[in-house]
Amino acid sequence: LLILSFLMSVFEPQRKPALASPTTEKKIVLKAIHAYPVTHARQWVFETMNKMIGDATNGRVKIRIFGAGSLFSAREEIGALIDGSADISLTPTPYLIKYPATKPLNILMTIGSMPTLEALCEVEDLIMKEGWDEKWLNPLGIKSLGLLPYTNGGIVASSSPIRTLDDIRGKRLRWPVPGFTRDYWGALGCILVTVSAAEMVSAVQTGVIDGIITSLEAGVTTKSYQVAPYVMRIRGLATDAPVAFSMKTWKKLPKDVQVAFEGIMPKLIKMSRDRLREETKHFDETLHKESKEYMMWPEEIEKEAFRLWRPLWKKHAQLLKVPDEVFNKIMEINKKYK
Amino acid sequence: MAMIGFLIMVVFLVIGVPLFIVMGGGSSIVAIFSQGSPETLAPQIWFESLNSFILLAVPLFLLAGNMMTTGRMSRYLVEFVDSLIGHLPGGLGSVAVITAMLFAALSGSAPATSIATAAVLTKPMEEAGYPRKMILGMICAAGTIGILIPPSIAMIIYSTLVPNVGVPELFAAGIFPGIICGFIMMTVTGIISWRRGYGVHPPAAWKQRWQTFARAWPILLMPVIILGGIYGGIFTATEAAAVATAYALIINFVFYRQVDLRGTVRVFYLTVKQTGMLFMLLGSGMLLGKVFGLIGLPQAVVGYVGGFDVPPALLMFALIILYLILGMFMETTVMMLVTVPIIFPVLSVMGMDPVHFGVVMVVAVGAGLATPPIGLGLYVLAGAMDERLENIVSGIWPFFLVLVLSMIIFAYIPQISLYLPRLWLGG
Amino acid sequence: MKVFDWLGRITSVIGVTIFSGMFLMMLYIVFARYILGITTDWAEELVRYLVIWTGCWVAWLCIRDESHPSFELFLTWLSSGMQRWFQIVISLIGILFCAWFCYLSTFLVRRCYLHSSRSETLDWPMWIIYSFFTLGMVLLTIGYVERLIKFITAKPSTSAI
Ligand code: NA
Ligand code: NA
Repeated sequence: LLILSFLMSVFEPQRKPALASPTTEKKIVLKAIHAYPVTHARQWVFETMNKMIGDATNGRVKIRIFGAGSLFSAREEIGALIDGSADISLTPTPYLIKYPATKPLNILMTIGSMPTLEALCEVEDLIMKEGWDEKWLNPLGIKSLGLLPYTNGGIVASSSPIRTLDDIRGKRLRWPVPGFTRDYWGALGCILVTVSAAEMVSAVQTGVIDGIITSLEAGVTTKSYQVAPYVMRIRGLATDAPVAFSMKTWKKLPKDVQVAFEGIMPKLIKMSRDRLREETKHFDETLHKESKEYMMWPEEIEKEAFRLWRPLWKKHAQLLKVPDEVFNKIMEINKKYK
Repeated sequence: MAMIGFLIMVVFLVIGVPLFIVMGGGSSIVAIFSQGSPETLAPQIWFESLNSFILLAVPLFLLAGNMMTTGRMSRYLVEFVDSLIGHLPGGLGSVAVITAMLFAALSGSAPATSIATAAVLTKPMEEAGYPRKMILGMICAAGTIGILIPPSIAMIIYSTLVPNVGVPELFAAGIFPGIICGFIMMTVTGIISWRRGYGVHPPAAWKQRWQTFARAWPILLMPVIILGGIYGGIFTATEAAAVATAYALIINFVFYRQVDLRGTVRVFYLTVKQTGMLFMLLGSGMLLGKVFGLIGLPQAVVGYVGGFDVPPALLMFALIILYLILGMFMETTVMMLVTVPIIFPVLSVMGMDPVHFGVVMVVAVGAGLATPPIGLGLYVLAGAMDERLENIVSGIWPFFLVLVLSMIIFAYIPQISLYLPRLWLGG
Repeated sequence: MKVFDWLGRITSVIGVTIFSGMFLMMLYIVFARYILGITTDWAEELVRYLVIWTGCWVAWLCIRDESHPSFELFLTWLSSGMQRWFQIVISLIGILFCAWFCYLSTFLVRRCYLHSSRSETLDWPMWIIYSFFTLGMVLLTIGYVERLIKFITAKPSTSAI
């Protein structure tokens, strides 16, 4: 501790200007948090945002990124924003469910994303245009700058082949996010198990679980195909996240900086979507090459899934207090992409 | 202001304020007064960093260990080991090391391993002519094996500090190093006792060996259940801890017919209290780690070390030296909590395997348990055996050198640590 | 000091009970997944909270038997009279810190209450879950008050730890 405190004192003078509080100094440093590996798209979004806002404000605003959960875990991000412990997050919508006010935003997690990434983008555009994200997040003390898709869809990776409905039934699968969205796969007859991301691959290897339901991205970066080589691409899990600002921080920002942030958003959203499309292509290719079997989910499963899920969407939308108007509009988009 | 916060920490530390207050108070002061963080930051991080399924294994393995290493069970184990190898050169000394290795496979903590071994072997070893300081010194150092061979609380904590490292990998990685460390220690003990001519008893009859085995086998089965369950896919490392405890209860009640409810409740109570102590330490320590991140210390260290352009092998050596020095002054858990968030970014930049480093780290903190002035292993053993600290310390140095030697071996031959995780878990 | 003993006994009974509950729940999780084949996410969340509650709840008992680790080298160099004074100072620091932390954590409880935030799967109010932390800090403060009284009233000759 003595050595460390000495180190602290050595480093302190250099840090001082960068750490001054946003209101008193000219330079504004914002803390951006995410809980994903630094290779994740989220890190890229923040880095890009940092560059764009720096350019837009002549280097007056800087974003310091605390990735990989080095400050807060995903489930704590929203709380941290409410209090102002952190300034910006890209919290996946499933983690918003802890706060009743934000519940309707999970509609995207439930039905908005079902068909394709493109459908998701269209739903996002709708929500942003109508200002629903603001409406749901503001009561919490959070400013929404827009919505970003954050995963390129999901996969089921298993140690044994999954080709038919019977293959799925009774499989013990790792489910990645909290909340009732697990009901969807539960309805298909899977046993869903919570396993931390760190233990996910070893749990398949040892056989504690038979496979994992995860994002395309995590399937590639964790190399889960080495232990779960039968990979099935699924509809869904292409979820999104609001670009959430702590209202406390937002209100303290000078007007021109607020305008600058709002100004860079359309371009940032477009860039993220393009990047996600590129990334999806790349991940698809990787999984094609690396896994023993890689396919889109068979029609049999798709049909049964949608048959079982449609009533659940309706039920969950009611649970989430999603206004009927919103639900119906999103269902229309959903149908278009089927 | 951060400076003042850390100054307060140092003053608190020196005058003997409990460590959880030193770390929790210091980091809260820095966060609130220097970084302008809101009031909720500290309690939120404190609580939420404990909110992890993996960490549940800590109290549960403590419970299992406490149950197996108190009472009659430990004696049965020693009798069996003694009947097997007590006649070989090195005699009881080797018995003690092997016993410590077996306790290591039952318990997740180093002091618990030492105490269990010392409680049953000190007296017979003294009768065989071993000096008390050598016995306790050796047993104290052998406690390190307790956190190398799975289960290991140190490894569980390490896995929560480092992203994407699972407990099963770490547990598998510790097995060979634990055995190797044990055998080096046994060789050293053997040579010392053989040269000084400490007593060796005649070989036990096979009948006696069988009798002692018949009593000890349920205990010997426990590591098989833990490891078999984890790597056989029946339960996760966390659940293994619960199963191990249930198993300990069952063999105690059913096989040994020691229906001692009062004693069982006492073991629960002891574990609950240890949990309270550890969770305060863990929560405040993780808070400190995150406050380090908040003020940018890890990045600064990465930049600083990166500036020197040191080769990884040299850096590893420097780290070993650093850990040996830190180990003299810091408590195990605290040492990991404070250093891993700072050092890990440096290592990942250099491309070092986090599992491999975990093993080296565990030996390092294990050695720290046995070095004065701050060494939990020493204090606990001295307290339990009613012995002066200096006497244990004076007997420890040959075995401490064994730990340093093992650390160097494990640091520079990563295959020892990585073979089993790769075999069992791929990747 | 009967009050403290009484409180200590209650705390340990409740602590052991919560902990045993956690242990049984853990066995249920293994059984449910492996034998019954059913999803147990609610239990997985519950055990996490149970064990943190245990930790917060019983931490103050470690003050009573001096088992919170600390750096004791400096104290051993002092005469027993000086040691007593330092112990009084340490107890005061303990009271201050734990009371401060209790105060800080009420902000967390308050925020969760105001935004009616709920836990992920159990859907329990988070403010109840977090208030165990506040409670733990209250107990720790009480523990240091007892320790302070102990060292103030102790005869100087018998105050060494
Ligand atoms: Na062990
Ligand atoms: Na030490």
